[in-house]
Amino acid sequence: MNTNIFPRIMVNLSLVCAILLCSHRTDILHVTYKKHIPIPEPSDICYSPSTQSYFIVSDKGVLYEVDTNLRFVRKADLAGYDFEGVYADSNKVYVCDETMRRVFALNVRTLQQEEVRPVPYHGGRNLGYESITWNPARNCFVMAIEKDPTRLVEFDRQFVQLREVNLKNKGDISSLTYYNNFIYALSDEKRVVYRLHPETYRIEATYTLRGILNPEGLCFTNQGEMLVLSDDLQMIFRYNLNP
Amino acid sequence: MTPRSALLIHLFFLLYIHRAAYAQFTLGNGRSTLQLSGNVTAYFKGRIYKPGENKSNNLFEVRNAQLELKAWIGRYSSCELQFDIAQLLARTSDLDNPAIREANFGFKIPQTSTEIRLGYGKVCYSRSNLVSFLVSPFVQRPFLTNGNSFSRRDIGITLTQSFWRQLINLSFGFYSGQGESILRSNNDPSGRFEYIGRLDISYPVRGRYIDIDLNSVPLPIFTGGINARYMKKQNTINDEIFLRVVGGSKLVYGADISFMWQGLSLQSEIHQMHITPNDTTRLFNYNTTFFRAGGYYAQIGYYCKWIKSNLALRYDEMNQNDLVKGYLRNLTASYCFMLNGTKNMLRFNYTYVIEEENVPGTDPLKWRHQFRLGWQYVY
Repeated sequence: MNTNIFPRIMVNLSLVCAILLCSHRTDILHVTYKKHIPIPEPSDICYSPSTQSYFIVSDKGVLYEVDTNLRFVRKADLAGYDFEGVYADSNKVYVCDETMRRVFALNVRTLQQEEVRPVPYHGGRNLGYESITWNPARNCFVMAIEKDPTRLVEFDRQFVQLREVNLKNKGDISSLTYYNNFIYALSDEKRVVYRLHPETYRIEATYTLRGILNPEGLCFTNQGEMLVLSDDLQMIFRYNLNP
Repeated sequence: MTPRSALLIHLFFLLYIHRAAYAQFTLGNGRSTLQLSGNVTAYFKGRIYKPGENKSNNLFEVRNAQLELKAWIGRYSSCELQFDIAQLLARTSDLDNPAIREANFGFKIPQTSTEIRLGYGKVCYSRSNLVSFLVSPFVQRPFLTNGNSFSRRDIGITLTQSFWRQLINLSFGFYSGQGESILRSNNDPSGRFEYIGRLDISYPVRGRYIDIDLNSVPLPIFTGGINARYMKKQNTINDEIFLRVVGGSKLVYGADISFMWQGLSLQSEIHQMHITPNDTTRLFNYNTTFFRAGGYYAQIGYYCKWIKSNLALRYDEMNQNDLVKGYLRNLTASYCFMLNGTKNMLRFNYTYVIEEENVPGTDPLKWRHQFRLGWQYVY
């Protein structure tokens, strides 16, 4: 046996380990602030830059608006079944109804319904689309199928399905948001946030959330702090993240 | 093919198909949805019998081949039908595992968290009863709560109301009182109902009826419950231990606690029955008009995510009649390996009968040790 081969193997293994460590970072995040919100069974949150407020949806099929101090502002005159995802751009708020497989588009200022788009999915009633966000890198909406199997599905502006990406062995996904050139995905059962590459959806970093239970919603403030919504605790938790 | 290679092929098949365990299927029309789901559970049961006993119960068995149809109609109504084909074709009926499991209709009162449920299904008594077999580490419930002491299902009306982030749940119902037997018979000649009520309180978040801490919750979650039921019937139904439906009056009350934290789970439950039977032979010539029965169980489990395994131990004790000396006491150990959570799970249970209670008129147990190796697949 060639005795020179052993050091070469070791060098190669070290390189592989270094690449793996650099490509997939795991950090632990601690709560810096938390607040109770008077919204029953909240399931997702997003920041609306045009109104400088947050939109929160609930499992009861209601859309709420709260200010930056998380105080109630108003609620939409829209009766859904089980709202699980929300995203706001400069003109519209998009709300995803998991049970009925629909996306509602509302005027961001009047909160009047403007259109409804079906997003068919035949998996379990409570295992449908859990979240929605806009991915500027691919110029499409991204919606997450919670689990069994966990998938990201891309849609164009008319909610015509473009492609699906499987997220194997990553637990469930309960929320998605786009921030600073990355997609962030929240796992309720694992209580972690994944930072995904916006083109490939490959996991680039993992952040473990401490002190929270049943996290269902995720967004970033305009100061770059991460807000995570807990359904069971009916609270918002703030974490500092420096991506 | 040798038995060893057949076993390897089966194991390979099992490991492969767990990736396809993609849960339920749903159909919808924009206003209503229909969900199709089900499960299959099969196991090998091995018992070490007392000398001279028939060993025909050492066998492979399909415990469940279930289909569940659940429909949500509009915003407030729902309907559920769940049945088990394996039990429909079974030679004997199993109170813990009946053929028709749910056949009911529910209605939520708008703007409230009150729900009314009408039809056949689980009654709101006993935490152990309300926990699905599919999310328990044990293949059998404790003898106290497996349907022999009090019925687990019945036809009737149940009202449930939740308060304060579902931390407090209140249920009340009235039922035929005939339990599972109502599907094959009329009501008792007395025509009276059974009344059941339950209250449970959880903290800091709502409790769920599950015995395995699959999510290794980071905050300790406590749940406590109290429940009671009352019936006054004319005829006794001839079950294994003649306690489920008693001619005469029967008051049952109990309490339960549950705790979960970081993979650790603890559950305990206690029940007391106060029975005034019409049939005085069950009083065994004592100068009394009633007898008491009851017992408790306590179980502890630990779920380790990294090895996808849950270990659990349970002790249960029951006194079928306080006028007869002795208790039935069992110790059960469980190991579960989760290929895909509880959707695809292997369960191994070992039960040791520590002590038997020989109440005159009931059959003594034929075994002291029992092993069960089962597999469950939920779709």
